[in-house]
Amino acid sequence: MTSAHPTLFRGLGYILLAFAAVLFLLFLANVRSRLLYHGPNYSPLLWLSMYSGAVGVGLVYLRKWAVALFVISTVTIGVFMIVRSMIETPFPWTLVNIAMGILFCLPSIPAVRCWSQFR
Amino acid sequence: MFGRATCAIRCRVVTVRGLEVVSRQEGVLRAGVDQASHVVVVPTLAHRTHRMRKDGAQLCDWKGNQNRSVGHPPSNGGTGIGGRGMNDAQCQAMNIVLNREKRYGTTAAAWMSAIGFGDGTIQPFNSSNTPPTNTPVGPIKVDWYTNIQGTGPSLTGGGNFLAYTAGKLIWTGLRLATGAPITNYLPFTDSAERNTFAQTLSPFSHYSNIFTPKFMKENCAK
Repeated sequence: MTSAHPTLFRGLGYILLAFAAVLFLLFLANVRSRLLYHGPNYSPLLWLSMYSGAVGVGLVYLRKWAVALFVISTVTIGVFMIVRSMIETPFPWTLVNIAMGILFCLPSIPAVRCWSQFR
Repeated sequence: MFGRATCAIRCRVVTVRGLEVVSRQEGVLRAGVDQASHVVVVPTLAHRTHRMRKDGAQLCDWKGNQNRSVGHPPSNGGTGIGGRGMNDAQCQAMNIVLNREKRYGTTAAAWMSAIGFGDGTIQPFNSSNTPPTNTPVGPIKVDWYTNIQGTGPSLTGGGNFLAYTAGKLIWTGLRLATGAPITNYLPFTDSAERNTFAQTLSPFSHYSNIFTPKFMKENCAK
C-alpha cells in the first residue's frame, strides 16, 4: 500500500509540469498582449510557472524538498479555501469550496506517512 | 460638458481618445473628460486609491496597468452601472466580439478579445471596476465568461469547472501578490460569477446566445 504513495507523487509531478506549461503559455500570451495592446501585467504567472515546474520535476524524481514544498503549498491553499469559504461563500456553495480545500489538504497524509521513502 | 477628475497619485495616460489633459503636476493629474469620449487613465504607483466620479465612472484606479477604467457614463439610456443596459464602450466592444464569434467561433473570439491575453476588447466589461452586465440570462461578468470560454467548448462541464476554479485561485494569488484589492477570494462566492460559470457549462453557450440581436438592439441602438 505504502509503495503506491511515491508513484502517486510522481503522477502529481507530471500534472504539476503540465500546469507549469499552461501557466507559461498564458504568460507568453500576456507578454504578447502587453507588447501589442498595452495589456495588464500578469508577470507573476512566470514565477508561478517556474515554481510549479521546479516542484514538478522534484516530484517526478521523488525529492524530499519537492514533496515538502508541494505539501506546504497545497495545505496552505486548502486551509485558506476552507477558512475563507466559511467567511464569505454563501451556503451551499461553501460545501464546494470546503470539498476543494480538503482535496488540497489530502496529499499531506501520504507525504507524512511515507516520508522516509523519498530521496 | 467636461467632467473633471483628479487622481491623487501619479498617473500615466495609456490610451486616450477624446481626452483633454488640462494640467499635469507632480503627484496630481487633472483631466477634463469629454463625456462622449473613452478615457483610460492608469496610475503608476501601487496605491490603493479609488476615486469615483459622481456618476460612478471610475477614472483613476489603484494599481499600475491592471485596472483601466472607462471614464464616461452611458449616453444611450442604459444605466451601465448595475442596471439593465450597456454603455457605448461596452456596446462597441460587444459588437466586435460578436463579429469575431461569427467569423472565428466562440473560443477564438474569446482568446482574441480577452483582457491580458488578447487585445483587451473586453476591457469595458472589466469586472475589477465595472459591475456585472444584466443580460436576458441574468447578471454576467463578461471578462470571466471570456476567460472560461477561451478554454474551449465544454462537453461535460469538467473542463470549465477546472478553468474557473483554477483561474479564480490564480487570480486571487496574483491580486494578493501585487497587493490589489479583492472583492471575493474564492470561486462560487459572487452570484454574478456563479451565473457566468453556469452559462459556460453548456456546449452551446455563445456570446450570441447571451447578447442576442434583440438585446443588443434594445440596449445599444441609438
